[in-house]
Amino acid sequence: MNEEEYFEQLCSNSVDGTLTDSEKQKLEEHLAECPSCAALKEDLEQMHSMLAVDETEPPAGLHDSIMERLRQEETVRVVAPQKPMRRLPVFTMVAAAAVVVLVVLGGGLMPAFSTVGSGSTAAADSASADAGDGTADGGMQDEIEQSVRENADASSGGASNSSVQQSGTASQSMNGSAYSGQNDTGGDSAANTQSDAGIDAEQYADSDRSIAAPEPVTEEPVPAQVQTRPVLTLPQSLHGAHTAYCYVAIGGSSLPDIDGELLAQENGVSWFRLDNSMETLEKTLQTVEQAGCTVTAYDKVDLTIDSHADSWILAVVTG
Amino acid sequence: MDDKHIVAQARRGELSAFEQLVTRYEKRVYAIALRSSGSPEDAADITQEVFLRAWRSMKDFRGDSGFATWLFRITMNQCVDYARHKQSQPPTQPLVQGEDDEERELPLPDTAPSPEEHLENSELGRELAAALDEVSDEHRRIVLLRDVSGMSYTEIAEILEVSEGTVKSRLSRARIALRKILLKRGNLFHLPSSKDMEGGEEHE
Repeated sequence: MNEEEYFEQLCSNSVDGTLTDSEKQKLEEHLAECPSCAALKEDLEQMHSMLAVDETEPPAGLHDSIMERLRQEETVRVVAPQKPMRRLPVFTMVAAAAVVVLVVLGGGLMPAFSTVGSGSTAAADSASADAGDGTADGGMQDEIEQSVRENADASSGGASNSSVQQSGTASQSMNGSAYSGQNDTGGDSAANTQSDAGIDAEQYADSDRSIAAPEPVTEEPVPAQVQTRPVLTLPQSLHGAHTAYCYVAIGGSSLPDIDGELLAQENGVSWFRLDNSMETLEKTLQTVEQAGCTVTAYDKVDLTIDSHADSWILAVVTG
Repeated sequence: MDDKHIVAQARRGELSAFEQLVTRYEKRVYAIALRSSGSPEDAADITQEVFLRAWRSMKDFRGDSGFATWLFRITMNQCVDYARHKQSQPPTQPLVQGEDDEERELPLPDTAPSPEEHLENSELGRELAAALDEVSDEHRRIVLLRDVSGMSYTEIAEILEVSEGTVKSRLSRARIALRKILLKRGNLFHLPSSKDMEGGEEHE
């Protein structure tokens, strides 16, 4: 370090108040005879006070929006099954493969339908986001697909499509080959909904929609209304309700003991309202999972998801 | 005051524990992001992204360094990435705009400074962010850590994984580089030496 650099560094250190006594003295002597260093020191002090932002208050909603975002992530974690599901019947694999092929066809041939079923994105998104951990989605896809079949045959395009897509990136390799590039990209964009993917993600999200929306899977035309309700029909009393989040538990043979208020019971679906606390959430999800259910986030259009809501809703589908 | 216990809980996936860490550090992360980006909207985005990344990689956090060190490292990277991304994008109209526009509305809380101060601050903020865009990533990082967030040399050395000696010399070079840019942009003012210096008064 030459002398100039040495004094420059002393000027810089002096701004931080880290000079030793002897350095301080050296600098003072130097500044008395070096106007350029004196100007430097003044400027550095000015810069230091300009740059400091101690008093900045973040915008009021920042904390909530961070936590909201993290809760979405949490959903992904909660939903990923702990262990692979026990069976994967040939029937499902074939069905999945069929959906894959038809979806690819449908996506290419029927972009005009994209507006028809935009309501089904909620289901498609949540289904794919749930599978996003990529551990063992096969089981859940399986479940969703089955319930789709049982409940509304026509609507399989929405929910199963996106979970099949996910499984392409995960363990169900047989779907992966059928899907190729589009599968991966689509899956990614669904999983990282708001990350760096930017424009691409939006494009793909759109294409997800147009894939999910039309009903290429079924030969006969299906009313759009059915498509927007792939699995569940929200009880009338819950329309527009505010809830911190909504989960659906599928696959249990009997109704587990839920520590919450039973709001409605119709078509084999029990709707509960529970307190919005992490303890209740964790405990409840554990209970239903122990009862053999697979839990998935349910991003229902007629509900208002509101992180400030004091309760959340759980729908349990029993066989 | 001890992060360790909370961090351990957060590593087990307890979001409520992680929320305490968010509460503890969000202001500082936001402040750094604001100075780096010059825009409250971008700063909020960066802050959100920082915590999302931290939460996602929480289980990989070894605890060799402190949580804060780790978090600020993520913050630095995020700020630099964001600035780089922004530079590679066509310049967009800032959300806060119009020189004579009286009603600049920023999503700041009620405790925000008076409109006049506010206006000055946001203008200064944009100027500083623009100047920071012109220095190297390395220099941006160290200025953000020291001048903006007021960390000690020791903390900075840990975050950047360099020696304290390097911190001092790099900081000095970074400040001199930034000063050059600020002088060029007309953001620094030499007051007559008899007057004392009051930061922020110089803007027209």
